[in-house]
Parts: sequence; structure tokens; C-alpha cells
Amino acid sequence: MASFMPIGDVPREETAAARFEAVAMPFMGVLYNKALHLARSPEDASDLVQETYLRAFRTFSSFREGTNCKAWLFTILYSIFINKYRKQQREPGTVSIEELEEVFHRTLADSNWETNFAALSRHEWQGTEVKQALARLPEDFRSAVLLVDVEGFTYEEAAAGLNCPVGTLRSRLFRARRALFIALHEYAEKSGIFRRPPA
Amino acid sequence: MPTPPKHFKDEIQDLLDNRLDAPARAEVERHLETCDECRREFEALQWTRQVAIKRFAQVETPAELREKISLALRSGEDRPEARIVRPRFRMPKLAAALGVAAILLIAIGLVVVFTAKPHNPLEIAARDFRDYKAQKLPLELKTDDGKQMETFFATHGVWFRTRVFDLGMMNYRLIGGRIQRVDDEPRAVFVYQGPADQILVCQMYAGTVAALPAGAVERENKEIRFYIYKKRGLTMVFWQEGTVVCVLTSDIGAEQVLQLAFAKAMKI
Repeated sequence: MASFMPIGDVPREETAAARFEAVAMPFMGVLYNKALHLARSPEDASDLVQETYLRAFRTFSSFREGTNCKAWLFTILYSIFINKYRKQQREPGTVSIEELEEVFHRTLADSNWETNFAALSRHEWQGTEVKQALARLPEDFRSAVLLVDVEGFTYEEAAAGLNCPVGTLRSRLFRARRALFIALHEYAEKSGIFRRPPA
Repeated sequence: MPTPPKHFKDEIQDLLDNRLDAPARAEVERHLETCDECRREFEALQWTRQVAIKRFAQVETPAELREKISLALRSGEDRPEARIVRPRFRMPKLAAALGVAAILLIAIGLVVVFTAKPHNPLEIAARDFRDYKAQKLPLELKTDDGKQMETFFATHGVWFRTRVFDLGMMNYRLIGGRIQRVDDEPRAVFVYQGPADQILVCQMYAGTVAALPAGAVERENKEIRFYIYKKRGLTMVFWQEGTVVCVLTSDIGAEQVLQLAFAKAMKI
């Protein structure tokens, strides 16, 4: 039979929601950040994060404590995004690896490489400039960069999060970094960063 | 004619991501000292990575979002299990105590109802196999095309990625599939038919093999661990693929089910 403890002295009962919140809520910041990069609008990002948490809560019994909760939450967030939000967005055209390699290596082979690269490194890149470059990448590439480079996931964790084989993740990352570099380089060319004298 | 110099590609990325062992790392680093092309590539990628890290510093989460989610979680609409709520009382009034007792009784009732549902993954797999054979589980899509089946799942609420195997080499032909829901979560169910009309049912669901009950015979193949259960003439073989659990169920021989699983399981 249930007994009631005196008022005010009752330790907080650890409900499922409280357990879940203790384990999962600390990742809300990184999850929101990722959602914003994927969904591109604060409203969609908030909805995406909320839906992720509610779905994660429903399947909380399948989560094994002590395993990577952040990767688990990302898996759910990404899946919701793929099924719900991505369809609403215009997908950028696929990038052929041959084309990417060709442009990338042509850039590296430029006779002004050393000067240009120094200018690139010197420039104080603003978040919006980089975000615009990242937004031009296909979503699969963008996610690979965000998970591995920004969130510090291992290839294995990111692959699990994106539900793809490790080899696929590796290949996406390979292309994504090249494509991002090209986009930033093009931005620098257009905006005259290469022409500015060193400060 | 001189041999063109060897350039690295994947190795440069591996160096960047610290995925090379010491000898390989030393070899690539030595090469970078003498090869301008590879050095530039490494510099460019390293710089890109640093810019991404630096410029995607965390955006502050809207304060109301945390509150909104917290409220939704506690509203009970999305609870994973019935909770026994033990509220705090400000005043130990009889009415309040009775109210709480009533809530407790309802909650206990919910627990009983909730636990009465088949949650055991073995029971679910076995039930679905038997229901299919008894023609109580109609296929929502009849097809022998695995890609078409995967598209069906993806467009009908299965939020994780499915992998519908081609078992043609083993003389098992896909005949179709359907989506089952357990605790409101989707399961992709697809069925194969063997040369003598044997039936093999595959299910995929988001979860972990850690939730499987004790008593499995465990086998390992290609670094994948398989959990084999035999129950009332059925064999069920479970394994993990990323965040998805796969299970093959059939009343054909256990070894045959296992070999089919070995053939198609993929390490993710």
C-alpha cells in the first residue's frame, strides 16, 4: 500500500520525465544549433527540437544509459528532418566528385596560392559568410561537417547518427570539406579579399 | 620516363581527423614536407575545418523552447511509461489525500494495462510472423522490388532508414511489406517467400539489442553480434545496424535463418 510522506520533506519523485530530462536536456543547445543549420529558420528549428525530444521520450526505454545520448538524439533529429522538413526545402543539386576534385585542385594549383591562402587565413570570417557557404552544400554534406567538425563526433558516431555506413560518412565529409573550401574561396574572390593588402 | 609522384587523398583526411596509426601518420607527414600539392590540400582542409568550428559556435537556445519541451514532457501526452505521480502536499487535508489516492489507483491501473501489452521484442516478432501466416497481417504493399519497398517505408512514417535485403541469391523473393506500430513507434515489416513457399519475415525498428531479454544464443559474424532465440517452433535472429534493430523470423531451420542473417547483416 502506498504511504504518503510528510509535506515539504518529500524528495522529488524521479518520474520518467525527470530521468529523461536529466539525461537528455543538457544536449538541447547543441541540438538546437544543429536544427538551425538544417532547418534554416528559428521557428522550424524550435519545432524540430521539440519533436525530437518528444519522440526521444517516447522511445526512452530503448535508450541504454551510459551510451552516447547526444548521438542518439541527433539520430532522431536527423530522421525527423529528413522525413518532414527536407521535403519542404529545395535540395541543392548533387555535386559530382570529379567536378569537385577538378575545381579544388585547380584552386590549389593557382600560382597565387600562397598569397591567396594567406589572405583567406587573415580574413576575419563572419558567421553569416560561412553559413551562406555551408548552406550551399547538399544537406548530407552539411550534416557530415556539422557532426564531425563542429560537434566532434567520431566517424562511427556520425555514421550512426545519419544512419549510413562509415564509408559513406567518410566520403561525404571528404566532399563536404572540399566543397566548403571552394565556396569560401569563391566568396573571397568575389568580395575582393584577395586584393586587399595585408593589414 | 619518370614515375609520377604518389599523392595522398584519403590519408590526408585521415591525418586531419587523427585516424592514422603512428607509422602511417609519419609517412604522410614526411610526404607533406616534400609535396606542395598534398601540403596545400592539407592546409586548405585544415583551415576549412577550423573556420567551420570557429564560426559555428553555438547559437543560444531560445529560453521558451526549454520550458515548452519540459511542459510537454510532463503533460503526460508523450510519456514512455505510466508514471506513478507522488505529488507534494502543502496541506495534509483528507480531500487532497483522497484525491491523490484516486490518482494513484488510476496510475496503477494504467501500469497494469500498459504492461499487459506485448512489449517483448520476441513476442512481437513471433506474433507478427504467426499473424502473417494466418493471413491476419495483410501486406500494405506487394512488391518484389526492394527499393520500392524502402521508398514506401520512408514515405509512410518510418522515420529511420530501412534496408530491404535482396535475398535472391538464397532463393528468397521479397513479396511485400507493411508498417506495424508498437507504442506508436513504426516498425518496417517485410516478407520473403522461399522456393518451397517458406516464409521469412524481417522487421526493423529503432532501438537497441540491449533491450532484448536474456536467454539468447549469441553468435558473431563479420564483427556483428547476433542474438538467436527459439520459441515454439520459430527462430528469431536479432542484430543491431546503427540505431536500428533488425530481426529475421521464420519456422524454417534455425541454421538457415542464421545464414540468411549472416548474409545480409551490415556493420554500421
